[in-house]
Amino acid sequence: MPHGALSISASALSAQRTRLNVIAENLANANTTRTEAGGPYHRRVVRLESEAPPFASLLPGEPQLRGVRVGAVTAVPETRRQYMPGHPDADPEGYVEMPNVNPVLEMAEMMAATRAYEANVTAIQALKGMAQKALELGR
Amino acid sequence: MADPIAPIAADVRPVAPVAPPSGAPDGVRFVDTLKGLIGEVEQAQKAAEEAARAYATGRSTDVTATMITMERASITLALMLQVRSRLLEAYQEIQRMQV
Amino acid sequence: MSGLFGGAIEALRQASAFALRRHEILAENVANADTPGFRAHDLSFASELDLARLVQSRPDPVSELDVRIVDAPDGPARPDGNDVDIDRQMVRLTQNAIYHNVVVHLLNARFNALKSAIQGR
Repeated sequence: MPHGALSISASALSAQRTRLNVIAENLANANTTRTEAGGPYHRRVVRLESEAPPFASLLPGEPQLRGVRVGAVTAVPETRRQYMPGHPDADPEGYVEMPNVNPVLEMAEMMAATRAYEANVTAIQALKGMAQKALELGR
Repeated sequence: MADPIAPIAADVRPVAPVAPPSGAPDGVRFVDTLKGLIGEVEQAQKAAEEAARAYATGRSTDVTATMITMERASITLALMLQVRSRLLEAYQEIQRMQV
Repeated sequence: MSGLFGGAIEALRQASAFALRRHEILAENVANADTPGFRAHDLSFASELDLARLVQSRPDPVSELDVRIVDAPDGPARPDGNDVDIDRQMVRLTQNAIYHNVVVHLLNARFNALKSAIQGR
């Protein structure tokens, strides 16, 4: 049974989880200088956008409330050069092309995404609590 | 929820009007109250069924309003049954008196 | 016989409907807390309907409340255009749920009182 607020919160759980996966991939590949495609790993970023949830009932005159989805996951083209002369992928001058992944930034992103995830869980729990309370009527 | 309302009015025979001993003004006859209540109960039951259906099909997502409507139907029915039972008791007592 | 239930029950029903509608708006805010360009909203009766006023028995039914969805930023918009503060939204959301549950509790108390009156001899 479609419940507007529920599907909105659920869409956010899904979007934030994707965001967390991308962050985890960035962190795991922070030092990957050689990918299958050749060249260093490129940092991925998630762009979120609003979306109308499916099956939402649209009452006349009521604006459509919107959930969220991952609009795009894009690879950032920038890399950084680091002086590491002994590295197997070092160029003749001793520089290595490293992924432009800043672990501190990624950790901050991870905390934000986790907090957002938890906030949506709280929203669902609040709704569940209200529904359960309503079911007590007449007991 | 409840079974469809059987024609309960058939069970209730109107009590023959007895002149009030003190000459008090004509009050509302209890059987009229009962008949009015039966109408209320039917309305409330319909509203409850409609609310439940609206929620089940997703037309409504207000679970609280749905439960309120159903509880109102339940209480209206309980009141009607109580009035009916008191009326029956009174009738039976009057029957005994006529012997 | 709508006198049986009285205006207070209808008023409490409106309060609970208001709370459920408000939850939808706040849930949308929380879901879009990181969406670029999203602006936070709330219902126009942002301060909760005065419960004391609601529970006074009133014989007349209350006309449907006129509430609108309004802009309700948590602060100035960030560079990406979003003005939602997720922590503030969570507080509003939780308070709103508690409000709804208190209203249901008051409703149930009234229903139970009616049922006792009906059964009582």
